[in-house]
Amino acid sequence: MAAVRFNRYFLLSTRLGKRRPLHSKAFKGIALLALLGGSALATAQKSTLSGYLKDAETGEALIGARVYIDSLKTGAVANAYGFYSLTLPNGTHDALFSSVGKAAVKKRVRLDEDVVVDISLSPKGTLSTVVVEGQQREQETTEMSTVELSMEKVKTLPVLLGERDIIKTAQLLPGIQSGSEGSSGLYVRGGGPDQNLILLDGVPIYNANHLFGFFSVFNADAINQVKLIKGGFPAAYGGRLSSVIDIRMNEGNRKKIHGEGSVGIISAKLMLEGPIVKDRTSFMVSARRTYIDLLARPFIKMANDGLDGESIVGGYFFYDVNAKINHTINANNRLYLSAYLGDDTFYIREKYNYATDNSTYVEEENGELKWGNKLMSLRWNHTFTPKLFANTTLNYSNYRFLTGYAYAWYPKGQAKDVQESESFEYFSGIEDWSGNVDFYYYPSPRHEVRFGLGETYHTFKPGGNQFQMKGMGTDIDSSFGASLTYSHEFYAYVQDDFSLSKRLKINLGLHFANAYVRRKLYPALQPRVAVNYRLDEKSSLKAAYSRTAQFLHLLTNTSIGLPTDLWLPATDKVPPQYGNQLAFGYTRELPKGFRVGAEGYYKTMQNVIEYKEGASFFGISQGSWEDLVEVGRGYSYGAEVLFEKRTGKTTGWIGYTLSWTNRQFDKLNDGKVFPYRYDRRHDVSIVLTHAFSERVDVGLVWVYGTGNAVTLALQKYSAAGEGTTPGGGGFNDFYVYYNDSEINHIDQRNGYRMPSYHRLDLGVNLHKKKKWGTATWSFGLYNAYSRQNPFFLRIAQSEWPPNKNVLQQVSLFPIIPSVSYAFTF
Amino acid sequence: MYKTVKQIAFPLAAPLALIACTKEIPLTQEEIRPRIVVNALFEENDTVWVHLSESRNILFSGSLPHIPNATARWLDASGTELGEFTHAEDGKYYLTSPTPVPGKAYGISVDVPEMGRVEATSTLPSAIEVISVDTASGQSSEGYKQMEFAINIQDDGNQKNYYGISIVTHDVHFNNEDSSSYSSYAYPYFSTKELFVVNGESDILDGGEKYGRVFFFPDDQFNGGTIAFKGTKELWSGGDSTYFVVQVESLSEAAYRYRLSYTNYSASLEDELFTEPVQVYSNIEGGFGVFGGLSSHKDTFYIE
Repeated sequence: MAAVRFNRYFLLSTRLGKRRPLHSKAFKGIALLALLGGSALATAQKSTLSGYLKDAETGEALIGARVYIDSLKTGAVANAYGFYSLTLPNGTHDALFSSVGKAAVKKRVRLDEDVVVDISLSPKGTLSTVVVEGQQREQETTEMSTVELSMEKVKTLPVLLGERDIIKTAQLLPGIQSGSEGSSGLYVRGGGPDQNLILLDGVPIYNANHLFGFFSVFNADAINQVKLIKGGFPAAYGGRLSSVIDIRMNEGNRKKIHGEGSVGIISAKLMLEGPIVKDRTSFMVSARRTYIDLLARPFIKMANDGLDGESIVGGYFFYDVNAKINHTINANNRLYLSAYLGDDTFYIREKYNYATDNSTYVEEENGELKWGNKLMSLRWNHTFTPKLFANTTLNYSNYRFLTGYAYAWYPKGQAKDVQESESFEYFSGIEDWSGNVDFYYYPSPRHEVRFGLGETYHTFKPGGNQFQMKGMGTDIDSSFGASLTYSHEFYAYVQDDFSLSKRLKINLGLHFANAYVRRKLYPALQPRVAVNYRLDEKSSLKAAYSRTAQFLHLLTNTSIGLPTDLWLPATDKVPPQYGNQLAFGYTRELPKGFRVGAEGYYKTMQNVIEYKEGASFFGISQGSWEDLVEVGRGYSYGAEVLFEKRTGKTTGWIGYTLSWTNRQFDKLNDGKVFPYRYDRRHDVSIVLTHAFSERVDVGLVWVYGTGNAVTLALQKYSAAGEGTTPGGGGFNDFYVYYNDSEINHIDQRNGYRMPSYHRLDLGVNLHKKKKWGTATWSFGLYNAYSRQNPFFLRIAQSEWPPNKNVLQQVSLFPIIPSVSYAFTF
Repeated sequence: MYKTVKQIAFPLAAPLALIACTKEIPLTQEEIRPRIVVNALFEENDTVWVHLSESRNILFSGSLPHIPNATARWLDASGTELGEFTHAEDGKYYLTSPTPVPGKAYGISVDVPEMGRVEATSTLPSAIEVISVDTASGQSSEGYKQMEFAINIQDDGNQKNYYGISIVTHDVHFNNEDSSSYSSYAYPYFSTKELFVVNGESDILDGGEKYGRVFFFPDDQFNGGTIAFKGTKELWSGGDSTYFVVQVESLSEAAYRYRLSYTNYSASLEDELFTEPVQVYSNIEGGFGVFGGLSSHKDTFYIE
């Protein structure tokens, strides 16, 4: 391998002249089978240009970077690991390598055999560059309903309490809605929060919320790329109905030690990355912790000083840690090990001392709530041939929720001599072990074939209880509740993204999934097709159909992101969810970096679940969750418009969604169709950032949404109970001690609209270059005009005049300023 | 213990309560017209009573108004008038003849000046046949004294039947100075392990045993056969005299759906924050309430 120093900013390394034999004929066979159409024809007198596209500063893979041969009007895009492959006629070609935010590089390549060219791209402005599009343009690709979130944008926009959050930024896109105020929940095209496949380095993450949903678990400093797909799913993805959020962590700087950190109102975080072995092995580690509990401690102590023999301590914190190591074994093999660990903990500890004639006793009560995720992923990239790349992954994912309460009574100073005790624990969760292998096969520039398979072994813990009692008459030590449920989920897929003509490009795929639970097999064949028809250089029409299956359910009865939500398997009693989505779109590139896109969609969802009337999360602890749910269907349709500006000092977008989302359950709402809780007729977001200079940039976000649909009784009337129907056959015995002889009449489930939601957020970032790096002060105003947005509604009695019933709106956040200090070095 | 979980869960909402603020907002729904409320649960060979009242906006604070000036008619299955109800007091109307006959369908129409007309129909189920009600004293797994009830019902295979069972303890406390004067307290809750009942809350320490005030079930599993229902009730009375009232009812579909939903509704009010809302069933076309037939059997057992 020859390494050529191109100039001080730009490193080009090439491995020329090596014709690589196939490592395995078996893989060649698989690849050939995967070919759809006549791609096998593309081998005569052709050679393959392949390699990795990397960031010159960090050595990290440039996902989605592009290589383009202008003379042939053909090109290729780097995959999620930076690998590209382009088979061309033998001869000399001028290849242009480019990526967003990077200076493009033109390289003359002579092909008379397969050639490997690894390219490192430097940031724009550091050398004279050719101005080109850094990535495949919207009108060129079959992808639709897909957005790649700019991490730069995520870090610039103003957010609640200054906590940068990719999920909050995603909520600003058309077709994606937040739940209630401040929530990190995602509701994509009428789907529920369980219908989003959130992948962190390929591992599903089940509860993406910190602090009751006000923050997501993703620390923006640790994230490299976010791709969000809300329709037209490629066959490579499966397992959820509504969206895929594919999040890739930073790989770790391969060149030098680099760090980022920040200190904000509620949390501090630090990210470090760098080489372990230069250009070969690198690491990234990032950690974040809130410190409300630490700041509150002196105040709690002061409050306890005034209490006689009693102390109460309570607090809340969350933390998360992301870590990753990647290692290049050789030109054809790379390993990645990534991990995530995060927990939320809420605790309250109460201690009470009291004296009797003979001694002093202590009563102690402790309560705790914990929830969190653990993820681990080991990935192996292997290049079999310049045309065949594979990624093999082993994953572990664990989400658990625990709530506990303990009481103890003991003589003071003798905590081990417990006279009476009682403790209760409730726990639930889900644990996955999975493995999958994905192949990327590039037989010709006109075909990009992907195929693969995978298996996940789920262990569901839908609600277990541990109860102990001692010294209170009868000693009890009991475990009870729902039993563990195990399931296997297997899938295989194949897809080909191919050009039929210069104008017409099709992505045709098939995803097959099979779930096995309680001796029942649920096979699901899911065809996927996406078509792109280019009207001209600047615009195209798109259409996509996808059928999806989901073998999991999320049982939730609140809208405030409580971690009590339960992940449950599809079972013999509660079948899997199935979805169909049809989408049409138009996209057009406009001058000066503007672009407009419009899409319409229609989506159906079978076997969605809801709690039965009168049921609650607490019923789950009794061990029969399947008896507490109703199974129904949902459908949604709507139109989305996105008008955006991607380049220049002022960037941003205006998004608008017009949508309808409904549910129908035979045993809810008298079998009639009712609006989904997050049915939102109008949803508008305006997102703008403007860089005044390298030192100052500002951000503005304004959102508007139709009020959420809530269930509210609008009338009341007398019940047929005691006192209303004398002589009616002993009602007195039937209705003894009923709470209410009036019935609050609910005409329709989710039949009432809360007031509309709107909010303006403003932010300014002041950057200053230091000797050691860059410092940034960020000031933000969340809800700048202090709109009292509805969180929930209730009927309550007014303070004055007394005994008057009123409709009350409970709001959470008025105007909230924030300040944070961030640094990079 | 069920409550213990809630004690822990409630702090979840506490941080939200700290930062939350409230304001009154207008009820934006269009002006809600009061509707006629008809409540009539009728039995075999008995005077038919119907209570008529008006519904009100949810924000209404006073007593719900009775309807004293309605014209209420008792109809047969074809809609032919069988008689007209007479107003007694406070919106309560009665009809002494003809009395309902088991297995027949009846209707009611109510006309109220300036409010219009509402109608409903229902069937009176055949007379309930309770084969036996056996009692025995026993002890719960936790060592408490309890009464055990075994109720056997013969289901009528010619019709779809719905049942409700209640067992109410009455503790009577006599006035020491005047034995003719007394006060009585009623305790409606009891337990069952029967899987066929469709309501009730489970106590996690009692092996999935359900407890409630009334247990309901359809005859799906028993059509034409014998239904054996077992229930238990703790004996912790401190009264001078205690007796139990065991009541078994065979309900029309309308009465069953109304009672079941009302029972669930009432239970949901105890824990509104974490419980899904319940819509109470009504079969009054254009109004609210229930019009349904039922057949009732009642036994009283005294404890010495």
